Amino acid sequence: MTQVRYFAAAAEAAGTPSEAIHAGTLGDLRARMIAAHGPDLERVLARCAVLVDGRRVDDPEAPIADADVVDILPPFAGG
Amino acid sequence: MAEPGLVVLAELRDEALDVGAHLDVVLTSAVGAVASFVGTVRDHSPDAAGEVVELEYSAHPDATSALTAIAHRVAERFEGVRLAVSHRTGTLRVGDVAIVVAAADAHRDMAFEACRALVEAVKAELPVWKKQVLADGSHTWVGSA
Repeated sequence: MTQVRYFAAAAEAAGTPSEAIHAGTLGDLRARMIAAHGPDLERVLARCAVLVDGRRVDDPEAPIADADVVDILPPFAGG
Repeated sequence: MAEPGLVVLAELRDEALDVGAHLDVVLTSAVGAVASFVGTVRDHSPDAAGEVVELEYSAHPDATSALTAIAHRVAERFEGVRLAVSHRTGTLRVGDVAIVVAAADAHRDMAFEACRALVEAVKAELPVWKKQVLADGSHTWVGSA
């Protein structure tokens, strides 16, 4: 299982700051997150960066079955 | 004088920021110019339809190390400069200070440039998020709509 950590708007849309999800690829994970949390999260996800064990991953085919932590990061808004 | 810039302070705080402390900490007897930037909470935003009354900043657990890394990357570009930067987390009211950057150098040109460069880098790269609470009690997430 991979621990998925949601931040800010993504945490609000998911209704939780984190959860354990098993998925084979990034695209698979994305589909599972949307199936579980609905269109609010889908809308936010479209703007989010995804870190897999600290590294940015964009390819939906990227394998994540062995990943420990996936971070869902909305656009940064510092300053 | 061919030494890289130095980061003397880089931190996230959940309490009020002290602008003067940033000016003090970058100052040495070799410094002739201190440039500073103070970002404050305003009552309006392009992301919000109504009056903004409060901001809540949240940060990624690695944000402090990210801020340190951002400051060091800027310092490498400005020989001899001394940098201090702090960013708030938690709940801020209109008028509260959200970010302070101070850059010191022997001369003003590099102090101004380094200060600006660090402000822009923090805004682009620091993993923090801003929830705007409006007067009617609703809220928006900056950049995430």
